[in-house]
Amino acid sequence: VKFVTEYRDPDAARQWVERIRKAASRRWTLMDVCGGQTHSLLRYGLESSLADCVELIHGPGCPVCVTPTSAVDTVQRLARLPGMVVMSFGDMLRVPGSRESLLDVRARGGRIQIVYSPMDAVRYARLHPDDRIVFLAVGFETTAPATALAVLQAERLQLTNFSILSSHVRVLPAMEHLMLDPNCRVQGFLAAGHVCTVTGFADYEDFVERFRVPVVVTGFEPVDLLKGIFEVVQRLERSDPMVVNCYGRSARREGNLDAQALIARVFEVGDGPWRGFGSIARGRFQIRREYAAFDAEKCFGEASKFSTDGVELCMSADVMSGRIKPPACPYFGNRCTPDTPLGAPMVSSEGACAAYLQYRATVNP
Amino acid sequence: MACVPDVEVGQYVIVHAGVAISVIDEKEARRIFEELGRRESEA
Repeated sequence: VKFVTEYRDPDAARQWVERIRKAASRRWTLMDVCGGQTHSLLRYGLESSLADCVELIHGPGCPVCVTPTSAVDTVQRLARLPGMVVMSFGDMLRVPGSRESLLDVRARGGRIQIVYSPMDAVRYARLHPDDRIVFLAVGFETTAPATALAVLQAERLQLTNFSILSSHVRVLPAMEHLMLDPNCRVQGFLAAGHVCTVTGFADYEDFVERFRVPVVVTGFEPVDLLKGIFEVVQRLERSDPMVVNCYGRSARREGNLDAQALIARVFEVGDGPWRGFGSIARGRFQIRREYAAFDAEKCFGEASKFSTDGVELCMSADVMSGRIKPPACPYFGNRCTPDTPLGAPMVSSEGACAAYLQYRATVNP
Repeated sequence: MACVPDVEVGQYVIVHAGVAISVIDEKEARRIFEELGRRESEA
């Protein structure tokens, strides 16, 4: 496969590992904020091969993992309304709400369907005018353009049976939230290449200015990640924090202006709940009033009101902020497994706990 | 293709949730390896 396999070349990876080792005069603590990167770091054993010079914390980069319990509960309430079909991405179905997951609801006969793109949900709505479709939209800035396109398409088709429950979130406010915690140990960030492909990284320049930590825009394959880690370490060694783009094949400083325009047309920035973090200021995309007809929160009154998240056994907040590693959780691998997850990070194919469990042979004890 | 209106047949794109979000810059794509070769010869 072009533009994938060459970035998995073991020789190139080994050379970058050596370079990182040579560059590091001490052990640095870095955070990735992308579930795809978390999985690559563990899958290819990068975390353990760099353990002596870099500690990697896997931040709130898994969209499924940061979706609040209240969003799952809300969409389950909507699923009980007559004629309702709930759609979302596959991982979202397994995430526990406060009582059960969407899969549990489906097992009892609830109409819950998996789609790969919000546009598929629009297509279904058009073909099934007697059903009412709610799409539970999760994801970062990367996914928001697809949801925006779906809303615009639903408007063009004049659909009256399609709405979105938006749990779209923004990465940068979460990074700020983490840095404002006085106990934050993060010294540098690997920024998600696909989020930056959409948003660009001019905003990260202000972030670096404010918090004096390097941010390196990074891809998802081993060679991409190692090169990104090398750049962060070099910046740290020179005490020269700045934004560096190591994913130039896709991310540009100004980002994708068409995608940004789509997001801005359909969404506005608001404060919002993140699982494990409480409300994050400016951390969420909510649907603009102009598109209220497609906003499930506006369409279904009380049933769609987000409730407050209750107390959970899951320690995802401690995992995502780097206070503990997944295996340090008392439920890891016993009460909490991918088949019986207590929390979202054990569910998602991008979740840190699922990654540690799946690749634990490559992770240092 | 709503977000990559200028894409041409033969180019590579990154698709996320059914939407192409960027066109791969092939020159940039090679840079990470060229840098490795360069540093190697410097060493």
